[in-house]
Amino acid sequence: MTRFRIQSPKGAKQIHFTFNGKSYQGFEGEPLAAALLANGVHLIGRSFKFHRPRGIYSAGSAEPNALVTVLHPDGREPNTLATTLEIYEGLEAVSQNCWPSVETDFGAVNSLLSPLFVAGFYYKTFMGKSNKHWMFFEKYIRKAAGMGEASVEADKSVYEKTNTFCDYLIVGAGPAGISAALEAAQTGKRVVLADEQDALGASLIGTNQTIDGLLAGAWLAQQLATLKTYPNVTLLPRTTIYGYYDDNTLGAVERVNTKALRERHIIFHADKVILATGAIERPIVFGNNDRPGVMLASGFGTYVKRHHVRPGTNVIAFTNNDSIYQQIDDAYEAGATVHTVVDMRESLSDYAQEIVTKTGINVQLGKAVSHVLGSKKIRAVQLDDGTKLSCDLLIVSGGWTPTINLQSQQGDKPIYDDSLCAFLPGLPHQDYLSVGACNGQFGLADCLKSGARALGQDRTYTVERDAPWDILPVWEVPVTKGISFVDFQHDVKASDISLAKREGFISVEHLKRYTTLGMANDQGKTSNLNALALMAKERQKPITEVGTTRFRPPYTPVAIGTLSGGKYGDHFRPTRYTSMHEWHINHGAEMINTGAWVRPRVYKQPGETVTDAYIREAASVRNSVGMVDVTTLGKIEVVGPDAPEFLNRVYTNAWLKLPVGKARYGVMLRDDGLVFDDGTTWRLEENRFLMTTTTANAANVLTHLEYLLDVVWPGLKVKVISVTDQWAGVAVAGPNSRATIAKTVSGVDMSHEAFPFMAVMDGFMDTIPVKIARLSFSGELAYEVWCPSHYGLAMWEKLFDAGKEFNLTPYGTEALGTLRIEKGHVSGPELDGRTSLDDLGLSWAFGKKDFVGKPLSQREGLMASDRAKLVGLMSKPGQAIRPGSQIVTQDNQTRSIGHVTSTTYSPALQNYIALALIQNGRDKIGDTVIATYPLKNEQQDVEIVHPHFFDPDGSRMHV
Amino acid sequence: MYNEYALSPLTSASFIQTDQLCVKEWELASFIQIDCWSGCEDQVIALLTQHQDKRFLVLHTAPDRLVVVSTNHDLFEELSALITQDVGMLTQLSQARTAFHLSGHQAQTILQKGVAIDFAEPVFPIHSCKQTSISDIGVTLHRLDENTFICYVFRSFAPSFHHWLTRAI
Repeated sequence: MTRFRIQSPKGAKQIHFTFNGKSYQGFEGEPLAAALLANGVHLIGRSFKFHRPRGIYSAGSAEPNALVTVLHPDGREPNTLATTLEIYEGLEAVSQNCWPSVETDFGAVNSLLSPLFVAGFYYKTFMGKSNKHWMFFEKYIRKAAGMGEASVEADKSVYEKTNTFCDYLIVGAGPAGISAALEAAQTGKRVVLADEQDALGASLIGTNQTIDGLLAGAWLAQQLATLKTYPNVTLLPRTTIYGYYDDNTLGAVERVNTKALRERHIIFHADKVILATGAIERPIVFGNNDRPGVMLASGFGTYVKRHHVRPGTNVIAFTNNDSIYQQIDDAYEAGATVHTVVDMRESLSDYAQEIVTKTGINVQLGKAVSHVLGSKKIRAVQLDDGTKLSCDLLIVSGGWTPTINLQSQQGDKPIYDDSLCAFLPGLPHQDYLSVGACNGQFGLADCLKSGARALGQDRTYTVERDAPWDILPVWEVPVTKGISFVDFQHDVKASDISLAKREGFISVEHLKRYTTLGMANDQGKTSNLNALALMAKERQKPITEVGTTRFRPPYTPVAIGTLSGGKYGDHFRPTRYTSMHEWHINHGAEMINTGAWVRPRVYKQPGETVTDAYIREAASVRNSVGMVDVTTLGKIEVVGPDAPEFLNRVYTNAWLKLPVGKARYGVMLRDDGLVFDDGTTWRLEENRFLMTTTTANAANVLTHLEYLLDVVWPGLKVKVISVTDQWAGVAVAGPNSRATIAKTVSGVDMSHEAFPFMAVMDGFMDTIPVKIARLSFSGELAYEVWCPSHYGLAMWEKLFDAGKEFNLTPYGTEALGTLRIEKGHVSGPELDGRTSLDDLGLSWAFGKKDFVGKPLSQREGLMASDRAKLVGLMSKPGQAIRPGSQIVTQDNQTRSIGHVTSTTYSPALQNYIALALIQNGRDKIGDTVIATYPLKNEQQDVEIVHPHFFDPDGSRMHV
Repeated sequence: MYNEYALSPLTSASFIQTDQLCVKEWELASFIQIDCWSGCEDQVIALLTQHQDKRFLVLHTAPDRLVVVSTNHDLFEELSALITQDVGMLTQLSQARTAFHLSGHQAQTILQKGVAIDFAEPVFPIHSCKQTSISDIGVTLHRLDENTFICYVFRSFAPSFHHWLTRAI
């Protein structure tokens, strides 16, 4: 036990931790700040800009100074508040923003130059007419300043997200929150009481005030025990409500801190919110008020009463109000004394006088602390009358600022109260109530009463030793020596406020941005009001006319991992698998993501590259037979008596006369006349069609169709339903495809005459019901075979076995692309949202009847003669063409006339080929142009050819 | 009736069973969507109610849209005869969905990690359903009793949903 440890926490386990490499002892679960103070450590880090020594200023989440970096075996977490970090065995924490050590920091030279580093210094000094200077200096400035360094390692902690619905969400478990919860519990409705501290009770913990005859601590224990008996009440310590959003939705972080789960991101959906968020004590602005050893009185009280740690042994208090006497009295009872109070007021209240008498403190009335002496730890204070008083701790109270961040996030405009020297919540924008100190009820009795009143109960609590509210509105002591800081975390000085005013930045919004006041990760919790008061003084206006800025979420910083709620890595987005997925994996498929789907890219054989594999697969299709998993195609049932009419309006070509048992290729346009999607649609029954879409566009097409039915043609009796997941599909392609299918299917005459091109038949594969459509994407004799998804694997295996005698080859998306490029069939790269029917050579599908997109498809821009048209490109032998290459001519190599959309090596043509969109391309067939890829500094000559490279008359698929 | 070739996407998945939570696949024989023509929904509901003999459950998933669910019976042909095309259209989705059965006191807790749905019974009554998404996967969430739920998910997403569920537990 050190001389700073008053007593050991009851039942707490002693553990070891290190700070800046030095080993210390502490008690498990106590804040790092308390453990360091117990070990006599006050110097925690260096400040943001001036590298000034900084210590522990408070005891909660408002802490501006005591930021540390926590080292983990697999990374580090910067900017962690020592005041809220609960210590554990083996914790390693280090100071930040200092080099080589916190004791000797070379960056402290900035402090000597502080008169130069005024608000706007960087912009004034490093920004010239161009941004060259800034670009040069920025990296050095950022290196010299800043907070901790982020870890480059992946965060291996586990997080989760959950939703909680409740009737009452009570934010803050201080006296007002507890009394509100007690009333809410009795309603039988669902109540959640959340507090950011590890123990519920806030100011009730350790105070010698009494409530209804009981010491506050005993009263608290009794009420918490009562609340725990209610099954409808949930108590959530260590839970910070960080954001208040629309519809009474609030974001929260619960610090679970177990190996299995670090933090839980809770989204609250509350019927009614009761904000009992308390108040934050304010500093007073005076010379060197940032030195280690200067601390808010409430922080001192917390360390003494709750953590049984004495932050100093020679303590002076400095105040303009009565609340500090409460802390002095409580600390006195707990075994920590203050020897002098410097009170700016001319006289004491009876309450303060009683405590002064009881504790025997020396009182300096009508005086102020002008500045403190000492650098890495204070050693004395100097009063404005020149008196020097030695001390090792100065506790300060400049009044209390209600914590109205959540109300402000909601757009609630705060109202300034002169008598309280504080902004209070304005009119609520949602169904919430502010109670207790955050609403200006600073006395304990008032807090308790306001909590009960939130539930409509007029309850009176008898409180003894309740501090009265008496404050002298003094914010600053004129500086005579040292620097007086307003915003500790961003090193904003009182003189910066004056400078901002002189330079015209008088609006609070400009003041904030010009000085960066309140923009650090503490959001100016301890600084905002002082800054407003100083600006008001500069402008000689009341504070209420200066106004205040609006708080934004989060109230306290939230880890990105917590916000992700576990949605990272394998959980970042879901994946879709076909029925045949395992088979693909077991047969050496290299898989590729296409949207959410995972598909085989190639089935590599030993020693093969991807290119080798797809060339082999494509050649096998041309020479014999191959099969590919096409389950991923979008499938939409279009049903109802008006389905033919609907399709006739959606597609550019005619659909009214498509007979049952036949399929047709169709193209649909967007309203603006550009091509939206294509695919085949099969007429299964008189009133039932099965539409297929591209894999990537399935959801968009369904949305488009639903929009048309709901909004444009609500009178049509048509329904559209996604059946993508109902069917597993295989495309069997190649000269031996018919023979392969015929071996496995019963009930279907596979002859060309009985089963012509674009026919659809029902059959069975053993007992599996299948639908077979004679379609071809590859340009070969080909069929698509579909069955209900559960049988997909069985169907695939049966076809694979049947094809063995023909050396059937499974193929992936690469070969699929090769085959369609050889045929000049368009796909995603060509359907890029910028092409028209004519651009793609699909004018034949432009029907005479009306269809979606027809009017705008004939607008001037889409009819222009110089539009890019689909053509083929043939490279010089052996030269691959990069997709995305720009096309230029020999005459003008600086202006692109088009681009390459799709490329492949063609085993049929024994050369690299490509599809491209080139201005007026069809008139350039036979020309040689240059495909250029500036990113790689590559150029090659290519010949423009017809896009149908292989079997242009389609004879192979009609056999 | 379908046959021995049927393979669930969860064939190789492992499930959890504790005192607080039991998760298993609820094998679907029927998941048939009925899209009613405007003004015909009541008629369809009446037909289904008259025909109801505890072999199936009916979910009201959207205006003019019902789903008939059964674990034992393939009802498509039977319902096609019952619900004629002048009142609505049937779509066979029995193999388009995979159903997860969650029961036990932890069931709500697990589901709340994925959905912003209030499980209070006045808001989410027993035998009703909600259309929602969990981890970006579309889900029809069907409440059978206080702590028993069925999650119908698209078949292709079933392994991903199982992955999410395993982690949430």
